[in-house]
Amino acid sequence: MWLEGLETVFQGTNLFYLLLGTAYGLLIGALPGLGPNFGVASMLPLTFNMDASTAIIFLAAIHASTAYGDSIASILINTPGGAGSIASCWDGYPLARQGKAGLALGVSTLGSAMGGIIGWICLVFISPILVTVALTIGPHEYTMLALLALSLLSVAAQGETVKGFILCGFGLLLSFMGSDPVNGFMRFTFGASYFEDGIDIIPVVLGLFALSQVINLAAGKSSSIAEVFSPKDSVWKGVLEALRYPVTIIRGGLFGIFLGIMPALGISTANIVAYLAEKKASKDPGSFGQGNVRGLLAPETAKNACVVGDLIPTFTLGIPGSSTTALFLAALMIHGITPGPEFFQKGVLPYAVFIGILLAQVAFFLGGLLSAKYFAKVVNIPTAVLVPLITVLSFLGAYAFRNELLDVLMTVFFGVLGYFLVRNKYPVACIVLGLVLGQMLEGNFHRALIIGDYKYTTFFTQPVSLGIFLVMVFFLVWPYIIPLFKRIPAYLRPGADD
Amino acid sequence: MSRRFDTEIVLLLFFSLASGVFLALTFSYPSTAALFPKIIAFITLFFSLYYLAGRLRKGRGKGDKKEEGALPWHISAISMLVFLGLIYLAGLIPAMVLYIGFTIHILGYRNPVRAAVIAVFSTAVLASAMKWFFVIPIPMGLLFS
Repeated sequence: MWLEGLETVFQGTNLFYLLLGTAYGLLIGALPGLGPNFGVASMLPLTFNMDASTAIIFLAAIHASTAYGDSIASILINTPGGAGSIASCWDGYPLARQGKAGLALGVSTLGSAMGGIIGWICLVFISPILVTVALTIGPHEYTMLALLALSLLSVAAQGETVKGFILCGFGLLLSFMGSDPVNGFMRFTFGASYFEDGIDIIPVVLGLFALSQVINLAAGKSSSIAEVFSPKDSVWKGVLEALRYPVTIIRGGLFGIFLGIMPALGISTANIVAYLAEKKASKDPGSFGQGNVRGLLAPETAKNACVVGDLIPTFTLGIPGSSTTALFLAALMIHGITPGPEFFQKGVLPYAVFIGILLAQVAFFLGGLLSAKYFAKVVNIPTAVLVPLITVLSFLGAYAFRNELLDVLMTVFFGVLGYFLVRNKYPVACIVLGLVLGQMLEGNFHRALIIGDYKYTTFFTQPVSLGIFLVMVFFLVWPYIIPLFKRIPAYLRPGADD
Repeated sequence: MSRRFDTEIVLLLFFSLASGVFLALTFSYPSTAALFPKIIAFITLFFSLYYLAGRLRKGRGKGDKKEEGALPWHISAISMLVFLGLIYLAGLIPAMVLYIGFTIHILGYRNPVRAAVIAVFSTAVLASAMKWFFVIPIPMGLLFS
């Protein structure tokens, strides 16, 4: 099957879209503020006429190369290209200021590729195990897993858990619009036939992540705050330099994989956690933030390991690892494939997809080595040109889905909403996950109730379901328990009563 | 000193209102269709009001930072709606040329010829890609359909 998968990937069309996706992803990734969400969402509607394997390979190439390309803006202009490249600024930009922008790009290129390959190895080995688990779990467990995913995302929302709950709830409410998953009863349509098919994810993602950024770019200062450093030294030097730190690569990769597999924790967490862990493990933590190669290598590796790791729960359980993989979920369903065990029974398709994902890592590695310096020029495109182009691309993406101008109107609405949410530091990804998981959550909730004779305690009598519930409660209360542990030693100290 | 508008309170009011409306509608649905949305709407309403109350208790903040760019958010939003309206009336291609050219000009490219060239070139590339490469029908607008 692997050989047949390889043959499928090397067909002309699939190879072409692999390369096209890589080039598009590098271009979008290099633009500050846009990330994999925009890259995948803008192209998703255009994959309708493609084969399922071609579509997934194309989107996987965009996903991987956008995540890598995000680092270009982080390194050259100290502006994260996306949420997954925040930590790359901390040592990447200082390296560029020292005249080592090329070296930094090389480190980023190798780190990202190695992270992607580590992620791929785990994808191939862990997926069959998780599929076996998926075959044994039922509606109770799926309900709890979906709630766990939403809870984790809320907790990971920069410490603002309540904001995360509000947005998850709002996303879930949006998912209820249209027919209910049990009886097909029409709900929350407000008398408009447009809402009878529900709210689709593409206008929401394009609005929240792309148009909101456009409004922000137009409303902010038009010139960069930081000086732009062009790479004048060799990118290859960075590749060779990165190879001197295999432990950093493996450590970053493992962090990325772990955070990718956990539903809802994504690249925004992975790159920061990996950076902090690397700094803690270093004998010279003071050098971090001054242009330490390991400070760039670790988050880059973790980021792309997480990008591939995110696909594991998406393909095996149908629970997206991030808002970007929620789009993959949508892509699979558009092509008539239900994620989970069914995906792995589709003959050569899963093997072709897995090989495509591996080749996507190789493609952006070679693309980055040969052309990162040229794609880097994209950061010099003036805001005046970027703003209308991104708007037009977003409009085209929203329109292409159902050829409905109302979808574009929906995109504008979510663009304005997203702009204010980001300004007030609300975790917009929660809306997307709520929207994606809502129908699945409700359907499994009702199925579980039917099995349990409509007793709510049924969720706590199934051991796996109870276990997942307890994990969820643990993650929700843990941030409040830690300060209590810190207070106890102070209370017991001599003289504490004085 | 005039107080600036606090958008977070508006957001929380929006979420409270939205979840309240959803909750109210569930009372007119059959029990199976209403159960889960009722639970979620109630929880969302509770958290929205809880956070809103906490926010109001803290007192109004300094308000939002003043925007410093060329295009305030409401102008951006209106221009996007106008663009959408133009697509509906005149079709995608004329609307794209006008929108891209106008926005580039407003945001800093004072040379109208340069703005027009960029607008026409990017429209040609994007429209061609849509029509011939991705085979997506281009909206022709009311005037030309």
